[in-house]
Amino acid sequence: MIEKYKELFECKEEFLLPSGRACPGCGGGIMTRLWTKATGGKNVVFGGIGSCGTSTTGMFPIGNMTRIPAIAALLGSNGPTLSGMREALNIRGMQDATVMALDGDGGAADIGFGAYSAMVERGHKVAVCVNDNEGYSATGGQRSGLTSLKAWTRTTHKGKDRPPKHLPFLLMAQDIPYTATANIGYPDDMYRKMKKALDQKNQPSLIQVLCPCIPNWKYEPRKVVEVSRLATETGMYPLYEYEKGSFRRTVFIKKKKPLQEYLKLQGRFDHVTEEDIKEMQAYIDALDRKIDGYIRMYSVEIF
Amino acid sequence: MKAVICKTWEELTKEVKRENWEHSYRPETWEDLCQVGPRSYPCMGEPAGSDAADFTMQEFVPVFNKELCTKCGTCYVFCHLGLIYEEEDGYFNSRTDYCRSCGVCAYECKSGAIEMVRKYK
Amino acid sequence: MEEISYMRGNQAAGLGAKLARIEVMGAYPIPPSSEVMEQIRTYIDKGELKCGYVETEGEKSSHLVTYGAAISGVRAFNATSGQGIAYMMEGLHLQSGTRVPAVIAVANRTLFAPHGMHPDHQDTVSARDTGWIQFHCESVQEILDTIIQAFKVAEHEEVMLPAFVCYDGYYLSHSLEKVTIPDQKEVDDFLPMYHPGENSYVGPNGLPMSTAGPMYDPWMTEFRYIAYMALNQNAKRVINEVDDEFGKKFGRKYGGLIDSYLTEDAEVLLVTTGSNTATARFTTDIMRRNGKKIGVIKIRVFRPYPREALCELLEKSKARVIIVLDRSPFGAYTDEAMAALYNLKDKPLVKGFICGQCGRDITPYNMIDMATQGFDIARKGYVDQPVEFYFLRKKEG
Repeated sequence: MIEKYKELFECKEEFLLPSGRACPGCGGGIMTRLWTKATGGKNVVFGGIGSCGTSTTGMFPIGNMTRIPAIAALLGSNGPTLSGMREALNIRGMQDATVMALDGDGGAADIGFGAYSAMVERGHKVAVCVNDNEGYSATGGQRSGLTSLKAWTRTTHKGKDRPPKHLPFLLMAQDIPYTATANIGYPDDMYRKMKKALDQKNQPSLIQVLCPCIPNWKYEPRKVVEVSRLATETGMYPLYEYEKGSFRRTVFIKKKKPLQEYLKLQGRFDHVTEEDIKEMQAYIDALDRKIDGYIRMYSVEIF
Repeated sequence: MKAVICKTWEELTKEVKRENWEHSYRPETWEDLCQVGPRSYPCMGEPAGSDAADFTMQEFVPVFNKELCTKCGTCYVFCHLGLIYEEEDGYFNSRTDYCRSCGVCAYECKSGAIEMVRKYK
Repeated sequence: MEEISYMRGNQAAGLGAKLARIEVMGAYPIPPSSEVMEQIRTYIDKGELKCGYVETEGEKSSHLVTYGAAISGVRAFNATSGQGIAYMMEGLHLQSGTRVPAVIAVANRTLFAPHGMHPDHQDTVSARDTGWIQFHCESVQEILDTIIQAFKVAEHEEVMLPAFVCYDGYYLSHSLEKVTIPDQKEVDDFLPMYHPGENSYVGPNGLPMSTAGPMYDPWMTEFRYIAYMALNQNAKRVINEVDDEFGKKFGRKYGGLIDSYLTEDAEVLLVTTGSNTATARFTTDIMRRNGKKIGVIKIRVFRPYPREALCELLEKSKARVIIVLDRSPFGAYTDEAMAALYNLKDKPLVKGFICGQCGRDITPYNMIDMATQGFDIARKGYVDQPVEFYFLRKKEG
């Protein structure tokens, strides 16, 4: 296999069974499969699977499409459940068991944000992977705090008029040991970040992965990876990581592609006008400057 | 307590015999459910039922062309069901029983070695 | 060696948890029960208890810590009041539905609005359909003993349901009473280490088992039935058994589901829950000295409601009138008593007084007055108003 995918071939076992209920063209499915591979599958337990996790893992008694035991908690309550499980497993002498969770963007940034903030402040050794499909996908596609600017959702028919939140920036302010954004279009980068997040030295950690969602983004199923890659190449979704006080971009885009290439593949941007595109371009530039600012702020030495 | 492993709803209500399942278990009555409560074992064997071939989701399946294959592994990375596997000689192939015809493997293959072929007429 | 000491209700709750050797505690402060978590912290810092202590940002989260720990196979504890129970409501259903045992000590406190801090039972009454077992305590000694008994009941393999141990907010949590502290070795003998059973673990390491995914009717009904039978059949039996065993070992019995005081020859019975039982016993003695025969029924366990035990008691007694002292704002205790007695052949008349709201005192004079109204009802033969607010202030002049 090619050099950059060598790490992905280390674990040959599949932990996500094929008879789940994910749509063909689901970005979240690719992410979940690689996340479970990154854990190694031994001595690991899910503390929460998020709403899309429950639909991909299927209804009872077909359920449990992962070979890893999964405790499904409520929406927005992964934070304390993970803390409780970590304490309990430590008391039972299982300090090296991995406690991790999958979550959605609504469950992490909206309803469960307070709980995650407290979990990071307590400092328990847990890892969270956030499936960012830019909306409440499992309930039908309503907008969430992470929906893109000018995107159609079931509750923003004319396009969302506010830019999204950035979960890693919010947690960086709390000095979380490791946080990053990732993209299924760059699986080698994503896998490396997952492995780092699951290393106990870097925990508590949270990574946010862009996973296109076919019923709400409205693209052709076979183009899921291309859509995801274009989100980064146009600058809408920059990839960076923050590790214990040092911040860096992990994928450098020397010349950004025109935004129209990303928008025309998706049905949710059909209504976008020239003015909207100017606004989105201004948002991309502002985000760029913000990230440059963070790089300067977190540089170890300033010459 | 017996393990309750994945079943389709249809199979719970009618007699079905399948030979090639490792942990084939069918709850005969509801008393076979986990008596502690809604708990279940993660599925350790083959998943029972839900062949996509029985559903209308499967229309095309991938066919691999060894002459064009460069053994890059991109198809293996992007199949979200994990159906593509590496053979001994380094070429790739897939099991098609659970394929959902998304077509990502064929679209991402740079050398055009995968073709989506219509399975049923 | 048994020790005799004096302590507040909150301290007794903390001590009960320490004797039961809890392993994880989720905590969030709320008056009047914040002293329990401070007490546990003191024990951990002194090295007397080895326990994981997780302070969270809200009661919903602190309950989920208890849930996550209990489902991973350790003994878990929590302590809260009033608004905390209301905030935890989502998680309470989750825990009783997956049948994961734990104990939460509740210092009953009224719910907002109107903004109050003093005790009434509105918080645990609002949580009566969550599927949790609810114990109510009459004295500080009973708090200490009930916490130990509650762990044994909750972790019993036929029950496997979480439990509340409730006591009145400032009346019991903050008043000093004499307490006999049982010996740690005896408690270890009575309550061994928590083992959820082989069926709750997965793999050679013993990671917790998965919870089932979403399901629809054919399986939901069966799981609901399993939980219902555990609560309404097995729990009733096990509570009585555990109380008997506790009585034989430590010398203190609390009657199981129901305790009664001089009910056989009484004409009017007072049905009480919580700390006003002690006042009712005192009132019974006074009235009997003056020739009026009344008795007391103490509902020690509110969920599962002791229907069969109550009917059995009333068949043996010759009382024709029951007065329910109701500390919930909309008459829940009266409703439950009336429903439990509905199918009796010779049912007595039931009248409920809503009293004691937000800590308003129920004095012996009030109880004498209520019992006298009970005698009037017995003479008239019918009940005018089945539920009435007691001791409102006068409207005019």
